[in-house]
Amino acid sequence: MSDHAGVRNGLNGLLPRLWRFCHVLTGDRSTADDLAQSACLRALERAGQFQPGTRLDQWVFRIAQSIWFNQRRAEKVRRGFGTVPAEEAGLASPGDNAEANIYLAQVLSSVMGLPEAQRVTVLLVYVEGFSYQEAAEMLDIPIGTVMSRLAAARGRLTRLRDGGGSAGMARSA
Amino acid sequence: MTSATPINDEDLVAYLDAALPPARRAAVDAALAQDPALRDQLDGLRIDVPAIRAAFDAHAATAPLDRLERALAEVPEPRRSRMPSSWLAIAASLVIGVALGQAPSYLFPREHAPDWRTAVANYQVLYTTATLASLHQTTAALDGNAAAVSAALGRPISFAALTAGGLEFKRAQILTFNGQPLAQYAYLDADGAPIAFCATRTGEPDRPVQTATLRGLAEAHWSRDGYGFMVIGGHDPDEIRKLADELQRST
Repeated sequence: MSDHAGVRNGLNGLLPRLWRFCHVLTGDRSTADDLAQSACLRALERAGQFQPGTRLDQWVFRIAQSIWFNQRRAEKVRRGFGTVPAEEAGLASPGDNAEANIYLAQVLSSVMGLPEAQRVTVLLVYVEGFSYQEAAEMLDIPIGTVMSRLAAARGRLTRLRDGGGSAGMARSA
Repeated sequence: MTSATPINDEDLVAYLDAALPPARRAAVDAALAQDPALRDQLDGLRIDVPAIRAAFDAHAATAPLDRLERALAEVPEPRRSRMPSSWLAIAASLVIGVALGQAPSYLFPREHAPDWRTAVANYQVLYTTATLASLHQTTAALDGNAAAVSAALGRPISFAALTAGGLEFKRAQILTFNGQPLAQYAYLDADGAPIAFCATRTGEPDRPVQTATLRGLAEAHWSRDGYGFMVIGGHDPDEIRKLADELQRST
């Protein structure tokens, strides 16, 4: 199989996660659509640079991140730097009124309300399951920064929970 | 508190994530057992991780898959599949080796390969402003960082020399190329463009500063005392040339 075909196949399976990563990065659904498409295109153009045997998801996430940062810098777009109000983030509302769905929608909304650096780190470590070290490599930051972002994110989510309101979150680990 | 190292939020996060080494975990357990304030601090960091995962898994299911799959399918196959760059490098060294009547360099790795600069350029294109903007080290820490890297490189480069160009110096690190240490000093320029100053032992004769464009980035390089040096980043050849001249004088 050529590099190109291998990467194309891999990308197909990654699309939901890639789009989710782009949404967490950009905080906006339609920007995430565009970014996910750009990342796919760039990955296919550079398929020859992908090292078989390494992880395609990490490689593609890094590509998406690099495009986003360059684009944002070029456009001097500031919005992605801070927090995104949940209504602007275009979050899906729960399909029915089941309590569990409402709770998960609140959880999603409170994580999306974190500053960009924190929510991306939370996604990579707690949702994608990357180790601190892997997340540090993907974000090109020291491992200590990964841990301090997680500490800040946890502190913030806990305060939301303890403050009650719609963004509350139950305790666990 | 009897523990020698104070326990901070980062330790507690790693504790909750079961990511602490056993000895440190035992120290945190012991401290928690006797310190109610630390237990409160720990409670202040507890979040519902399984719920976050479930929420985001449900969220991934709302991705506009049809549109993305269509877009992916519309990207054409390249006319000929490209060889991985490592193969091209081996092929190129074979041709050169044969042409010069020498053994190809991959059989007898020499002190340098002709394209360490290309390797650096390939690395540098991945850098964005954000790669470096989040790094904030004190001058003293940077000084120590740079000294350690210069020691590993085997050629002293003073902190004063590294900062003489007027750019914001962010980080020094040791990479390797063909088994040789390769020092990388990373900067951000006034426009936020990531710029790297790199050095490695090449054994080449002294050469004055020359400029080039590598991977679309402005670049300048020179040799001195058996070391190759290069400056790369951004798209302003004058800026890079000026910085290279400055660094060549000061190092």
